[in-house]
Amino acid sequence: MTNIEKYNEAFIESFGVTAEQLPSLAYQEIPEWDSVGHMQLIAALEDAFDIMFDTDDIIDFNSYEKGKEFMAKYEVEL
Amino acid sequence: MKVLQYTTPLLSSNMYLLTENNHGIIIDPYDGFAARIAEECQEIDYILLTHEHYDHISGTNALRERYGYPVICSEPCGERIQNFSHNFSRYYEAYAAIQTGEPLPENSQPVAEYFTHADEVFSKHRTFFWQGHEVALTETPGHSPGSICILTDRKQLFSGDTLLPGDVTVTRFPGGSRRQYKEIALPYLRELPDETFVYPGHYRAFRLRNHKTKMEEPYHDKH
Repeated sequence: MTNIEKYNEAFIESFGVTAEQLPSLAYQEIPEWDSVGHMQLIAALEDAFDIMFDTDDIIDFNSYEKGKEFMAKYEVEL
Repeated sequence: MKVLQYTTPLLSSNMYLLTENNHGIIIDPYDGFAARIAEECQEIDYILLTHEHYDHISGTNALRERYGYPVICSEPCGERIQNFSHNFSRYYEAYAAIQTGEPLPENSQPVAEYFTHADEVFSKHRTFFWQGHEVALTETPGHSPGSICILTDRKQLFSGDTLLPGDVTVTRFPGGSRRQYKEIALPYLRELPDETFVYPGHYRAFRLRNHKTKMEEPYHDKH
């Protein structure tokens, strides 16, 4: 599985969304991406890529696209 | 038996102190209430943990060090409190900021990556007698793998986050499982009398009969 596939899978597994929904996905845009769902997503990404997000980054990770920037910060090439 | 409820600043979680004959049991310890514990009873016999999340275990190390009493929880809870990711202390500040919508204060003290350990763990059920009262611990996974309910004298239920008033049980945190809630926790809860008085992990106490519909409701998760 490539990194982008792992990244997408974390969203799909956490929120039960389809791949088509991903580009426009943002925090609180769907009921599943609430504060609890956010923790689910963060834990899934940390597990998938063996990284540990900083607290500020967890707070600011507010969309699928924005998340890609954070992944780059943790040296994950998507 | 007297039941005292203390609401902590950590996501308004509840710590409980049960007292009888100057002895006490603490449920979900928070260090900030140490002085008030000392005012209420001279001897603490047990610390019980309803589940492994940081807002319910944060005072475990400090209070055990001060009083030396045993910490008891379920086996999965005992494993997960040793890991700062599994007990969510690592995520606590971010989660609290997201929940409240408030940014972290400039001078906020970071929560240390907190971990602790249990002195005794149990699997499925454990019952003991304390100062003439029956204390029955039962694993009720769902909200988290290590969740338990504590039933005293078959009348009062300390539910942790397995039951919260007016709310469907949240099973979407990492490690949570709706399937386990339905297959293990719910059958146990259904057997409890309607008159059971529930002391939840957050908010105010309530009668179980007022929650019986809510605890059966489906939740919008898939696990």
